[in-house]
Amino acid sequence: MRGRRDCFRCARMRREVYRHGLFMRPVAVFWIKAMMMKKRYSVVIVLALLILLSGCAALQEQQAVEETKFASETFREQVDNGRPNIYLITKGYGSDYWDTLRQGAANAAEEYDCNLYVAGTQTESHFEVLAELMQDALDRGADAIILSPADTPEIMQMTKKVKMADVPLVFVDTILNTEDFDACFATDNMEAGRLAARETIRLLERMGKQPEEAVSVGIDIGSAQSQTILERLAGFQEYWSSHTPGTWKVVDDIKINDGDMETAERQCYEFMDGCRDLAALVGLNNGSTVGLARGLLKKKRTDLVLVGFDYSQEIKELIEEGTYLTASIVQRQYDMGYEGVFAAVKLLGGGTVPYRYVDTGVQQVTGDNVNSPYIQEILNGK
Amino acid sequence: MADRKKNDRRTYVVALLAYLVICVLILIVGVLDVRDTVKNYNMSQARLVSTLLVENVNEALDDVVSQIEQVSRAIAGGNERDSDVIYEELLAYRSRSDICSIGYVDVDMNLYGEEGDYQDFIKHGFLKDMTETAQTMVTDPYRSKISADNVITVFVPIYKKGARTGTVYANLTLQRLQEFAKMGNFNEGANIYLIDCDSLNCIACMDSELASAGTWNNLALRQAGMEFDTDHDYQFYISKMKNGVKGDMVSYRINGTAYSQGYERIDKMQGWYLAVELANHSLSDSFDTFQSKLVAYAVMLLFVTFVVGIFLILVEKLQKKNFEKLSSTDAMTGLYNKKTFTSLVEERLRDKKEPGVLIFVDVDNFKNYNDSYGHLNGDAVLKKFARELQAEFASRGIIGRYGGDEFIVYLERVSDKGPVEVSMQRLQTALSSMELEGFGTVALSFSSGGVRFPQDGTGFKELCKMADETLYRVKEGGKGRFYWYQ
Repeated sequence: MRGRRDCFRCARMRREVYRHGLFMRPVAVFWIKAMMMKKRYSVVIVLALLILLSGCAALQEQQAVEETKFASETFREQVDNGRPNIYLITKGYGSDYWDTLRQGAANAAEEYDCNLYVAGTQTESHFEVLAELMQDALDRGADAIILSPADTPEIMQMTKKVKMADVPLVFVDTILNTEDFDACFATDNMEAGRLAARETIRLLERMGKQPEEAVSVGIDIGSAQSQTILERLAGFQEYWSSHTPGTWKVVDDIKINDGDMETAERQCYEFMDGCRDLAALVGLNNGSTVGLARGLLKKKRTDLVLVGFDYSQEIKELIEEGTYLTASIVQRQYDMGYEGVFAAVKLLGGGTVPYRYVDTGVQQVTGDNVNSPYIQEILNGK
Repeated sequence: MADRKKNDRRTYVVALLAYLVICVLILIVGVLDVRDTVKNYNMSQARLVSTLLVENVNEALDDVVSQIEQVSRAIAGGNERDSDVIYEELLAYRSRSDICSIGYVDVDMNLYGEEGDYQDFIKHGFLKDMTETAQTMVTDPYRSKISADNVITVFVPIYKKGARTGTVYANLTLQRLQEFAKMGNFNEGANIYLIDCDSLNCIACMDSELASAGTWNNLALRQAGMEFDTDHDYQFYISKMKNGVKGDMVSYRINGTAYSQGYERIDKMQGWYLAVELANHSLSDSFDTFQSKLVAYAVMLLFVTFVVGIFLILVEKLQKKNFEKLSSTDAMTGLYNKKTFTSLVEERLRDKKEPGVLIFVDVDNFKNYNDSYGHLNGDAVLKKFARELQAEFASRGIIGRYGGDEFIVYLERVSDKGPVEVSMQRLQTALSSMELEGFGTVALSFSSGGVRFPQDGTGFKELCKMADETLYRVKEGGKGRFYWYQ
């Protein structure tokens, strides 16, 4: 597993190099061309390029500084009004998913009369910053911490530290394999994966695929390290292997997009071009689903089933369009936030939670049910 | 002769190179063979460890299951009791066992146990599966609502007079299963996985990374990071698992690190296998040291034999040189004998590149010296002639003793008569007298005839004949002179 994690980091570095490489490539080509021209012109061009390069480098440096500066949010100042101070730390922000989860927490905080302080990191990969935010919450004297954890040794250590400080710790969105937490409100991702497989089979059957027909399903994932994604994959494979004939196969090459939607879109085309019996594509997280959905929309492949996760604009477009056989598995992130605060308040009051692990559930959204009031309620974060 | 020497040298070089190549080949084959042995050792060790660990897991599961079956038999054999009473008895049993949760399900599907268990069983469909199974059933691992741990559940049906009266269930954490699998230092650095052969899902029981224990994965994904000697190996390994083969082993690399993996079937968990992945370096460090030392000593041995080989060749060469010298020279004067001289001059004449002069030298009245001063003094005269000839011509030509009191000289790269005549005059002066032991100074002289190559002749025999005729002419004319062939 260590190897895989290294791979993941290398991939990120490669991506960075590739990004900068794309910028440098035209410069290099121009340089070579300049060298091939007459000497006096080339001197002028080279000087101009040097000035341009130094300007760009300075600009990139400034961007990097800004990126680091805004890599995470910080908590607002703690107020002393006699109400419990609960800190919510999330491994993402600025998307519908995390906004909804935070809204649930905010509503519960208002309802149960406590102060809620929220901060988070841009992505799961900023786990060091996530650990720093946990330490910051402890230093500020948090009465309880609600955390969407990243599955890394650094966070494991911090959870131990929080529990040693006797501060109630509630996980939301993700569970860790540790004893050091009081309650967890998250999607049962194995179950979510099973539901994704069930929906894929249902849509393939609706498409008219027969058991004796060769069917291939391509799977795209955002990371090979995220426990959430791995559990969805395991759930999918478990249901698929026990509910499909031998002729229906998952493509062995499970593609990893490292959280990059453009990569996911490119991998969508790779599946289309490289797999003869391709009948369905499955994205096991939001980014993968967006990339696959874009690919399907651009190529107008109504002959392919798409099953994904969460309710992005792209998947919404596919589902509402009507001609695509699409389903998306949506989570109950509002409930995670709301229940997380409720459990923290209960623990602070000396009470106990009935279960350490609560599956907040998942729901499939398809063209058939998207307009039902129940689904609309979930999609609107209620 | 030079060609022969060149050939000899080539033979030595070829023999040495062949020796080196053969030794290096043997070394390479040896290293590969040892590596292969080590690889097989690693795989067999991983298999052995997995076999031992699975034995532990199987025994522990057997133990838990048999205890629950025993409890179930006690319930079945006892008096009719309320389900609540049975549940109370089960709770008492739980307190002295490894299980984390226990309960009872009656024939009407009423569960006497924790509410969280009931919800889990409903969610995963275990109650339905349980009623369809007449024997003990062990579930796939799942996350318990109550403890949030990954657990497996054992369902043991109770029969009374052939009729099913209920089912006892017990939950066991995966962590506990992992503890059962622990075996001293055997597990250090080992990654232990439970693998479902249908879906190829695997769950880490014990992982070298702290955060990874208890996480799910799929072999299709794990395989992406592995490099195999051949794809067939791994596919074959997987297909064996899928076909229910009890155990097998495979080796691969992840990020350049070599690993071996062995799997064994878990008897009590239908379709589940336990796989142990071990980094080869943790198994075969001692082998690697052994191999490195072996290679080092082999290289040293190779070097020593190479040096000894070179030494022997040099000694042989020296001996050969001495032998050649002995067989090619005249023992008394140290000049070339007739045979060697002939061979050397013929070689030069064959090239026909450089002009030369052949001179026959004959000691005048040598018989008289022998007769008058004794053979020893006769020999001294010949030695004196040889020395002076060498002093005059050694740097310019080849000198030999043709036989008796006759010497022969071949001067290379000479075409003018003048310098030769000057040399011959100088030689005549140097050999005009000598001290003979017991007789004082005696007068000496020699007769000589020269012939030029290629002007006068081109063949060695022809030149010899001409020089001999010239010498005869000198002797006829009064001796003590040098004539050119005319």
